[in-house]
Amino acid sequence: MEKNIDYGMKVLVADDFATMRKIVRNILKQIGFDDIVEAEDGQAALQVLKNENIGLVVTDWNMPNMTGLELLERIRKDPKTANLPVLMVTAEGLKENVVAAVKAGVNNYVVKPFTAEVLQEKLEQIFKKLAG
Amino acid sequence: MTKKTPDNQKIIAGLEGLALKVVMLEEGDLPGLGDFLNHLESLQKLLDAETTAEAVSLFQQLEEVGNKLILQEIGPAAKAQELLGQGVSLLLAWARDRKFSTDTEAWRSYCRFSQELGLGDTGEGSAVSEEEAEAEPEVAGAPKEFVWEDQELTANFIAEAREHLEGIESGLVHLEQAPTDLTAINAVFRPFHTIKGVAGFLNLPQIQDLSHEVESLLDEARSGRLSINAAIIDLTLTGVDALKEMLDDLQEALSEQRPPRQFELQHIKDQVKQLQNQDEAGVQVPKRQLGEILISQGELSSSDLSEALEQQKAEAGAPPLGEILVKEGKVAPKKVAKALVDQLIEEKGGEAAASPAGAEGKAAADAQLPPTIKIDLAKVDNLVNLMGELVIAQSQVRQNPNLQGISDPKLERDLAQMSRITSELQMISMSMRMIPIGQTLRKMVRLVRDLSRKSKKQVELFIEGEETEIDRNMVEAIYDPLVHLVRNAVDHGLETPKEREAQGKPPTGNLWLRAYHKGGNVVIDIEEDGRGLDRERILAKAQEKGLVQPGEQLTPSQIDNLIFEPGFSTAEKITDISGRGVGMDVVRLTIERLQGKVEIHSRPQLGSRFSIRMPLTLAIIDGLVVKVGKERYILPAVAVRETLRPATSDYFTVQGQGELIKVRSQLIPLLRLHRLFRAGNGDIHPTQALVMVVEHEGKQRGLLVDDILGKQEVVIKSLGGSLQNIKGLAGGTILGDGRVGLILDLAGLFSLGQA
Repeated sequence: MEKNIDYGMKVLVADDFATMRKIVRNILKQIGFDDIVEAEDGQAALQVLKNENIGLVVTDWNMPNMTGLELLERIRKDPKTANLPVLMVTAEGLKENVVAAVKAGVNNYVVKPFTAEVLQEKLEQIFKKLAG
Repeated sequence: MTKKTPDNQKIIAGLEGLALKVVMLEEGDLPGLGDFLNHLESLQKLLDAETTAEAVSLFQQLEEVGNKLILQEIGPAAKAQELLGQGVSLLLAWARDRKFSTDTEAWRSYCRFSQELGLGDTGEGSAVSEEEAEAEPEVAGAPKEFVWEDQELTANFIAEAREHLEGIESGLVHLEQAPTDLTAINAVFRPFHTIKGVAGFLNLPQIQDLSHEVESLLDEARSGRLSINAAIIDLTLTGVDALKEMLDDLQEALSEQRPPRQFELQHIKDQVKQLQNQDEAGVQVPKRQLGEILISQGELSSSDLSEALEQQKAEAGAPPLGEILVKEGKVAPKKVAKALVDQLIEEKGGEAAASPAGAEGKAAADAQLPPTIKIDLAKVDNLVNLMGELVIAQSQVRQNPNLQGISDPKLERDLAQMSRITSELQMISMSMRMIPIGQTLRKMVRLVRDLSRKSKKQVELFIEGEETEIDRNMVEAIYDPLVHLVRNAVDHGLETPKEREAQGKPPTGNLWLRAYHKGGNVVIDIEEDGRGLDRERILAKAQEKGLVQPGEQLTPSQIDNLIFEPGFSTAEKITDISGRGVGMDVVRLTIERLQGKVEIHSRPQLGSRFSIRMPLTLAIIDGLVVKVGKERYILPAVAVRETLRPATSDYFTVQGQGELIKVRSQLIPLLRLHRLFRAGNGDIHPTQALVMVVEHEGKQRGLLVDDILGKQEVVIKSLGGSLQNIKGLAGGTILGDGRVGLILDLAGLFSLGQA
């Protein structure tokens, strides 16, 4: 089951709310990820992506300055990160957002609040697909 | 029948590609679904007017199935994917011979599948998902037994949520003036959204529920279904207040380890519903409509307008109202153009006047924030205290007599280096406790809005210098005086629109809140362009209250300062806003306790400015070092009014009142520090010494000292232990030569002098 996910990879968590970043970080740790970096908005996330070797992006949808969707579009546009797995965190009731994100090439999404099990399942789906 | 148009070729090729994508789809393959939808969308754009209705609706249904697969609203997924495959095949058959046949096994199979999956055959299925969305918040009932999810995270959440709620308030006021500003709507929407999300994780159903309500209301505004108006903003503010209350309770609950209180949210929910329904009926309109303007300009009759509107409604995709009116010959094109321009001006004018400087400043600040970490305040306080110790220890080392006996240039240099580094370290550690004053100033935005609504005055608030830093420990202390001054500015300073217009002023009054650093102080200005202080009335009142003797000559600034006298209040009627008997004397007292000063600059009819001047931090005061016998004491410089050596004729002893000094025809009690502290010669004659006239809580005393040694910024250190509560002493400090100087506490001294 777990062979598709490399838990040693560096994960980028983007969210403007620090508490939310911590929650996501805790859940990622619970799943087995150890190397986690945080960014407080899309701009900061792009900066991290430029400087660090990120294996997975978990981004919030609604952030100031640059939304998660814009971040996703920028990631897909840059040939260096075009294939980087991106998981969108969204809230209930914003369905049009999810569809837009999927059309823009998001690998999967989770709806807040989510459990470690749900996140793991989504990540496994993502990496299973990427592994072919 | 086959049409070999280039578009049709493209459609066929596209559908073939689409069929392949469907075959490749796996369960939960979101990128694949996204790819599918994007292709589907581009194909739909190629459809022309001759496309049969069945094909169009089939395209739409496939899109809907795709969306539902993404949202996991359709199941089982494998079946839905098969439906997609069948649909694409049907479309391919249609595109190849441009004929949609419903009399085939493929079509019947598709319909069966579609029914099994709960889809209508016209592609109308969104009603289902909306019902689902409606039903969701119902889950948020309170659980019987409350379990804290993660206490540390909850504490973080409380602090962060509060911060974001402050931002909402100023955002809302901006929004009220520029209701169509999408960025502003988003900025207000986002915090609710985030708070809801985090509350869901932290098992806080009530907060989740409430923020969901407000969020859903704002979401309608965001998507343009509802236009922002005063009612929505009021309700959002009510929501903010309720959330704050919940957060307060949550914090208490957290420290007391009890479950959070249950709050009544139904009335807010009802109001949200009401607003949502109201706007659907089109009751609230943010700007004047074109028709309205034309009618008011006498270019159009209302019956013609309603006729044209009917016509517009009847046609799907009808042209704008202006076009209809011109086509029907009801209004000349020129007039319509003029009305449109007027409409635009009204709109823009409103926006231009609106944007408070603060909101823009904030946006700019948001864009370029340096990375930060959050630290427990106690840790910083500890660090600052320890740094104080280090500075003392360092100066003790330097003053050590044995060390001073060594004349080694290298040691000298090293010691100098050490003291330079320690003082720099001290500066840095102090600066860590400094926070921008912006959040405190922004709290006034809401206050001003509420005040202006209550008093029916139009007020525009400008906030400048939000980034100005102030000691964290002073922020809370400064809040109440600030609120009082802002209330006064709106209630007493600014006039009603009518009064203003009568004086040739624009109806909207301006209120400026400015924070800046000046000469080692933080200055906060509260300035308005209102009526200015009424000196005649102030003077009359002061005489009536016996604060000023009849015939006494006062400068305008002295008259202005009378409003700070205890018991002074000029308000003719006590309004709901200010003037509840708590006068300006409390403001001055509070600020003086912070080692600060308030100054007034007022000009009749032009307005008033109240300046609060405070030291950057409470840990450092500006002190006058005075000599009393062999001891040295420090007096807070702000309290010292003047220094003089009295003439023999100005010195009196009065039975029962002790010694008095006459200063500017006023008799002031004299306090001999020599005697109070048993330092030096207690019998020195005042004409041989210096009298420092100090003021505290409106009372003046003369302090007898031997000499003034200088002015110096001193770091206040608690005396600690049993010395902590000595009357007349506020603390100690280390003077330049490493010796201890005691800092005088005037309140204590005054009461000692009375005994």
